[in-house]
Amino acid sequence: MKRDLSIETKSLRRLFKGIPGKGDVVALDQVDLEVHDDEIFGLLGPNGAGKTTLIKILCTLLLPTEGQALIKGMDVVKRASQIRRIINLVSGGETPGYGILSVKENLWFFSQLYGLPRDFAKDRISKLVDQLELQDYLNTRMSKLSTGYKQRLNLARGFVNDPAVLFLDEPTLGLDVLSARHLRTLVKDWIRTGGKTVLLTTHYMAEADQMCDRVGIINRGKVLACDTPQRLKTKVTGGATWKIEITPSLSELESVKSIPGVIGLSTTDNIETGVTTLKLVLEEESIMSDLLSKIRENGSKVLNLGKSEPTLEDVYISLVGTGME
Amino acid sequence: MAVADFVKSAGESFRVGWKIESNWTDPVLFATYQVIRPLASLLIVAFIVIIGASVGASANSAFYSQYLAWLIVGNAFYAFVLQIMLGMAILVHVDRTRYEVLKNIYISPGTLHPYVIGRGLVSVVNGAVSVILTLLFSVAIFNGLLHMNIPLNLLGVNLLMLFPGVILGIISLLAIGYMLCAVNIVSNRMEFILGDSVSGIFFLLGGVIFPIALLPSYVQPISNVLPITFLLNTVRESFGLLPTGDYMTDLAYLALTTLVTLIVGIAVFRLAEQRAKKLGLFDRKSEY
Ligand SMILES: Nc1ncnc2c1ncn2[C@@H]1O[C@H](COP(=O)(O)OP(=O)(O)OP(=O)(O)O)[C@@H](O)[C@H]1O
Ligand SMILES: [Mg+2]
Repeated sequence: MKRDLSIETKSLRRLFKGIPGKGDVVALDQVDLEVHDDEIFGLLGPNGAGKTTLIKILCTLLLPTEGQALIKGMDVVKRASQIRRIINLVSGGETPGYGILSVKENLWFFSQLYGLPRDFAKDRISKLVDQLELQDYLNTRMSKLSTGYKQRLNLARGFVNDPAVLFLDEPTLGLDVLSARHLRTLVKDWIRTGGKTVLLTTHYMAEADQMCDRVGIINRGKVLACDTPQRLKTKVTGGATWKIEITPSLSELESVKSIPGVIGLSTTDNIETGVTTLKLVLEEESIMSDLLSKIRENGSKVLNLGKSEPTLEDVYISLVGTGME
Repeated sequence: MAVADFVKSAGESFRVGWKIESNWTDPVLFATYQVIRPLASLLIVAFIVIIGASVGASANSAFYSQYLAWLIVGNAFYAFVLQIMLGMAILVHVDRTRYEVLKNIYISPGTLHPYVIGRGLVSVVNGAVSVILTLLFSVAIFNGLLHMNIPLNLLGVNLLMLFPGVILGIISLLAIGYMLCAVNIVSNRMEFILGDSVSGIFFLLGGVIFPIALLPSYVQPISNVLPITFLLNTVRESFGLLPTGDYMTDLAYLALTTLVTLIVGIAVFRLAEQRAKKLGLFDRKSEY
């Protein structure tokens, strides 16, 4: 069964003028993406990968340099005004709204930019306020809200026109664990109402794993892989990743990384115990002996060694090369 | 975008603008911006004239009081210029960097147009309040307090002459405000000088405090294409202060310059919008 496409890009390219003499920055390079109706699609990638650039193009904020981008079959350049009715954008870490206006006044303003009839708008705002648990802050000035509540207001603003396609650019940035979970649940519930699509970017692997039907991994403007989290895990890592605990941490990380056959490597330091955990994706198991001797050469002791179930992070590490901090 | 939706968005933008920028709730700020500032600049010029007249040997008091009335009216209506230029020059900058709303407004169906108009109308209302208060205070000071008998009869104004001119003038000022917004969309460094410099040029060249005929001949052509020049002409004619003027001719010139300003304003705005989409400027943070 082939579902309808909500978002489609064809050989999408976007250049930015770089520092003089250094050439252009390729923010997006030949991106071909297909996102279907009723899908939550996640974009993962390091800083500067091109995630926000892609979202800006799809939201009619930025023109592509080459190629094409379509929302519900409509070209973002030629049919921007039709597209604007059916999309919305929420960016994490931003608080778009007027500080001296209340939560209600801010939402009302944006509802009117979409021309919602008065009673209808009131109804929708009160529902959103309930869903986002903003009832107690309805008449509070936005400037007095905490980061988390500002972000809830921002999300409510994103829902205000009940968009068919919602773009979420790092929506849980700066939220505490519970607020982030609340937000994720909300988005998932919303998509179940049918006929909706979400394109989300995030730096949190677990978030992408838990929320997204499919995930695209993007680096330096190129989409490196694109599939369901489950299939990505088996496909990319070959089903096996390794976890090695060592102490003290490696002084020469690069020398380990450069061993042939090491596809990906990430390290986490536990400052309290002085133990460093290496997560590795290897081409084949036989490389392990090389690896262990390199670690010993470095003067580190191996405390623990084991195979682990691949996670989305492993996929990411093997494709992008380094873990996310 | 349907007209009804446009009006709705503009109306709501007006309300938001009113709440966030009006100084009504703060009497000191209100008095400063709406009354004291315009009145102070008027009084400075007026007293220079009065002193000049009293030391001049051949002071013709009828001529001078006529000139003072001319000056007061021009100065009062200049408040529209000041309010609209200053208001619209910082709009985009503040919304982009302080409130971070610009990009979210841009991706709504009407983009920035109904918003800019709605916000501009707030400045129009502020300007109107300023005009009325300046006129009232001037009459109270010069005719009430100083018994100068200046020929300024606020009740004798021909409103049928006043309104067409003022409405056209406001449209042209909003169109110029549009251009200031456009400059701000593509440039992040101009917002603080733009409003002041443009309104300053209009103050000097628009016949606010002295007749255009007194300007050097090489700048007079500029004065003669500024809508503000003809706006003030029609206003003074409706106050009966320009006996040599021809109202219909001035109104026609005002209409023409307004139309040109409008076309240029929209074109410039479109260009800026296009450039912003090309460079990704709608969500740009301040460059400071
Ligand atoms: N307006 C701009 N002008 C010049 N270069 C830009 C502009 N916007 C983005 N870039 C460049 O394009 C590249 C992609 O940036 P983008 O913001 O899309 O990355 P991102 O994946 O969203 O990163 P992050 O995770 O840090 O948000 C970067 O190299 C960035 O410096
Ligand atoms: Mg980004």
